[in-house]
Amino acid sequence: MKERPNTRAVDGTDEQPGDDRLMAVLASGELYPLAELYARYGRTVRMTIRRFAPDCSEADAEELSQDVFLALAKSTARYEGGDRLRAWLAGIAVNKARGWRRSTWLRRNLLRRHHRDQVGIFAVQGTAPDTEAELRDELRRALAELPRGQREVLLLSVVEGFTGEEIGQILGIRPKTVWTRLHRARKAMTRLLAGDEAANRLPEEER
Amino acid sequence: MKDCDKISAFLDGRLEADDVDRFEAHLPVCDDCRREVDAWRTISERMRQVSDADAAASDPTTREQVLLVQRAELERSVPRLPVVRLALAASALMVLGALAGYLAGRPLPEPDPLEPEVASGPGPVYTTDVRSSTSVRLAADTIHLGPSSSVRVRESGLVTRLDLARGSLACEVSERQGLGGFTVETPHHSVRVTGTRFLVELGATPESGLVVVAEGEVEVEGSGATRRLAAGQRLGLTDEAEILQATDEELTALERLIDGPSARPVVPALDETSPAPSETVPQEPSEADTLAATIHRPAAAGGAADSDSAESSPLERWRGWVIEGRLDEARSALREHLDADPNDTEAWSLLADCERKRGAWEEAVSAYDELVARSKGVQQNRARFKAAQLLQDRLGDHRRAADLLERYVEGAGGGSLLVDKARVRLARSLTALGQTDRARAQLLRVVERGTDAATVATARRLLERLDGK
Repeated sequence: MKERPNTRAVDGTDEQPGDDRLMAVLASGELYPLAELYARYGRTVRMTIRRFAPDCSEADAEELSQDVFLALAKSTARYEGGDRLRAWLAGIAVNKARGWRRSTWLRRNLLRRHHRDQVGIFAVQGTAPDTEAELRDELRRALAELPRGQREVLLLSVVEGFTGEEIGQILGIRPKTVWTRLHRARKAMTRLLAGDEAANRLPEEER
Repeated sequence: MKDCDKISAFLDGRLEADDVDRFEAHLPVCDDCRREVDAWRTISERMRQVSDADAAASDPTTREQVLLVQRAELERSVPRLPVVRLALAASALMVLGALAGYLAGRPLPEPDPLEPEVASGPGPVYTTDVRSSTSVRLAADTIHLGPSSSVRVRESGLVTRLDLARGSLACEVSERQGLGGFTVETPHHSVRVTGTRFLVELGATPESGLVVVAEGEVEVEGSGATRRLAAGQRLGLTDEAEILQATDEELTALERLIDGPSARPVVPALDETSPAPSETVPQEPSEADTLAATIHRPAAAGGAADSDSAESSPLERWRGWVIEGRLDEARSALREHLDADPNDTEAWSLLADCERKRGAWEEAVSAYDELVARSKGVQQNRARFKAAQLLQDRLGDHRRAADLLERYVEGAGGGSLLVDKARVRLARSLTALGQTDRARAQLLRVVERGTDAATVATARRLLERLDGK
């Protein structure tokens, strides 16, 4: 589902360099590790940006994703090692997305265009079957009901699989706040969706 | 604490293993907890499923990887010292002719050519990717954006200000006749004209800064001074650079950008009622997923490699291989190519990158040696620096590293961030060789005239260490 650090080469003969190694090479002034890091974590970064800046176009999301990795290249000195790179990149992505939101806020308000806080997590149109589309809509609606803080914590936890500590680091909030928001988000989502639970469980079991 | 109270911690994944076992044993006997856990598992699983389906669209592509590395290359050195290259092509009269009528029927703003009034609010930004270029028609002027470029356009009456963030920009500027103004701002320099055709380019390395004028006269402001360049002259943008004659190659590069086939109007010329240009102009009508498909035409100047064909050149293909990690393939293709054409400096440069990526430091250094022997100017000096890095960091050969770095510093001439960094490196190697006095001299130069706070701090630290000995 998501990238894991220190993945092995497909042929199994040759172990790919770990994150720490790539970061060390990047710190030495080489830039090619960026390509590999992008392959590993580009998806997490792009999805984080799309979730935190749902109105962002695909082109902007791509550009912002690249900006995240460029920022990484400039701040290698702050890398502490361990398996924290993915969370760190997500943190940079959150900041970039917030910056993008701030910069568009003004423009939007100048244009006096009515704006609803959309939830872009499931915004990509696919050719999913109707039931999928319904589930998607239902989820999107439920997520849109959540306060932004709860929604962000929930997505980072459930979809990206970050731990509470990592989420705290990414969002710059205390772990206790993470747990509180997560708890509230879960309650709200269950309340919003559980009504349809019986109906939805059946098709899932049939698959 | 009752088992039921642990449900949040359980769902959060915060429970210790023992407590997890205990809580799971509790589930079959507690309907409330079981229902809640089941409901949440269903919801979260569904969220993941739906998200997975969406996320596939966000998978990184090779094209993005290539772009990222290219952007990093450009951005690493650009913010410190840009290249400004100016030139003037011959057919400015046609532009002037069109403008005469335009000026006649148009109310003019209060002019101040020296202090352009910038339109309130940010203007539209135009960007190109690494393999393409485009043209944008402004009200009275036309700008041609080279590959990997980004410019913000601010227009207010006849006053136009372009903030070039990266890449290269050729401009056809209509005659202002003393009214209004046209400036191109780069991070360190300002290019001011009142009616001409010229090119501004941010180089990939600080020491490649350059101004070229083919005809007319242009003022270049930066490093605390204003220099006036006449037709056919060029100026490097380092402190001590002299004004020299422009080369044919430089002028051709400009003309290729201006006369390229890619011109298309974004805002029709001389039409004030047109809507503002879109924020970002994608290069091609349809965004292709592969590099090769987006080739517009050969890069006129700057970072991207050249090719006369409309398709991806072999070199670009091999560059893609190196970035993708197909190193052995790239290496043998490049070696074969270089056997036949040993003077292809771009290929030597790519081979060096390839060997470096393979971790074959010695071989990378010999590729750089070849490059140093066969190239000149900026390319040669860059190769020296890169070889010295490897000799120092990977091979511990301080004697050769110091030799190359000394030549690099001489060749770069003047102060820039990279020169400072090179001096610090040089001092390290000299220290390793026991030549502490020479090391100290290099570090003092950095401290005295350093351009970058972090590098100066490093130099200070090394000096303290030397003095502590």
